[in-house]
Amino acid sequence: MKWFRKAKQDIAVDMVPPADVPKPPLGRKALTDVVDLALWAGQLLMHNGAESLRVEETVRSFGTGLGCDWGDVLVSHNAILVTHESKGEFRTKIRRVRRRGGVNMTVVAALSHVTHRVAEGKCDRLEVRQELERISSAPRHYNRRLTILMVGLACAAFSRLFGGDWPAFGLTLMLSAVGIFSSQELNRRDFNSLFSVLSSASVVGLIGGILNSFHLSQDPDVVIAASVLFLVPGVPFINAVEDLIKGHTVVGIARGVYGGLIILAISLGLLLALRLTG
Amino acid sequence: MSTPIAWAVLIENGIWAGVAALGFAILFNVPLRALFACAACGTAGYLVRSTLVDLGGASVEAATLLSAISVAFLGVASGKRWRAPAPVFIIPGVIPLVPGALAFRTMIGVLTLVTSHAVPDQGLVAETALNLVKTILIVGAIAGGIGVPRLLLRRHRPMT
Repeated sequence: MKWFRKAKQDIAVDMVPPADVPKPPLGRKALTDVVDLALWAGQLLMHNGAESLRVEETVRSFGTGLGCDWGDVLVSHNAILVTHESKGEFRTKIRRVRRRGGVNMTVVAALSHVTHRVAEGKCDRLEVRQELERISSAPRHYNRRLTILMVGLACAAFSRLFGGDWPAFGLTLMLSAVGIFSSQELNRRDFNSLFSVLSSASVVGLIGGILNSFHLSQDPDVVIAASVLFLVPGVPFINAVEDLIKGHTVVGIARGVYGGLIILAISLGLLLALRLTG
Repeated sequence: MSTPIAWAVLIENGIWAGVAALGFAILFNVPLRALFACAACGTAGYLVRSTLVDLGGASVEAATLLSAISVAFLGVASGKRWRAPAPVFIIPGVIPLVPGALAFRTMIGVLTLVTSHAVPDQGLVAETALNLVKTILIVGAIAGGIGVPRLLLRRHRPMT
């Protein structure tokens, strides 16, 4: 019963805005700055594959940590809307978030650290701005060649998990490396991401079909199935279900539909290639 | 059941699952200090599932749900240890559970059904439908299992 009472207290605390420490009122200019910083953080999170609840909590804690009394946040699948208020004065702003492929866990982790510090009141606005600039301009930890090699190895490992033989391992390593290279090149040239998924899947399917006609491996299906796995939209689907569970229903549905479209694009690309090579 | 051959296959597959998780962790730009834990999550999840299926006789869907839950708890624990949010570990960790081969077989089945000019083979229709349902259930089990720790652990406190 003790934990139940504690949980009930937690709910009661959650319902009212925290008003234990009186905060000095923020001016209009300071409020604008806070809203900008909070939206910047939320935008970084949405670009790099965070779920909606994380975005919402981060944007709100940035406001309350930097001196606002309360903030209301609305997260959509391609925009964030926020109102931060301080002693009757309030500012509202919408930030569009363009969908970009790619998940960057380093950014998510770094923002989580910054949010902790902001929520504890250990950062002022200048410091937060410097941190955000540092996070958004940091290069990736792993260079392109290593990424291609390791993703190829991961897909090849999948071919073993699906019961393929050693020639299938080698073929999958090569094919998926070619596939991820073409996908990166297409994404860099700003093609629509569905189109780039479709084209990389068909490149993999075409080369795989040609190589399989030499009968190098006993299981040609495993080679193709494992080689397109790097395209599978795991993160959108996981985020979709998490959003649905936590009540961000519309965002969850939108993400789920987008994941389904990517699956459709992979299937279409492979279908095209397999029809061509027979 | 526990023949030496089966154990060798299990261990080899566990290593491959770790490699798969590691590769996707690098694609997702996970910080260097967390890479090992990601691979460990991948291995652990796969081993839990194969053990449940091979030795416990569970269905793949139920076993996937349980192993996704265990990966998620492992991810929360690693997040405390290596000071990073839990999804950093969980998302690469569940990658080896993704039913890629099943999805591919579904797709090939649909393709064969659509392109055949004769009356479709009833057996193939049933098999494709079953594969589709299984794929959807497994993906749902992965995604739903991941959400479990946060439903149990942090109910009314702010996250991050």
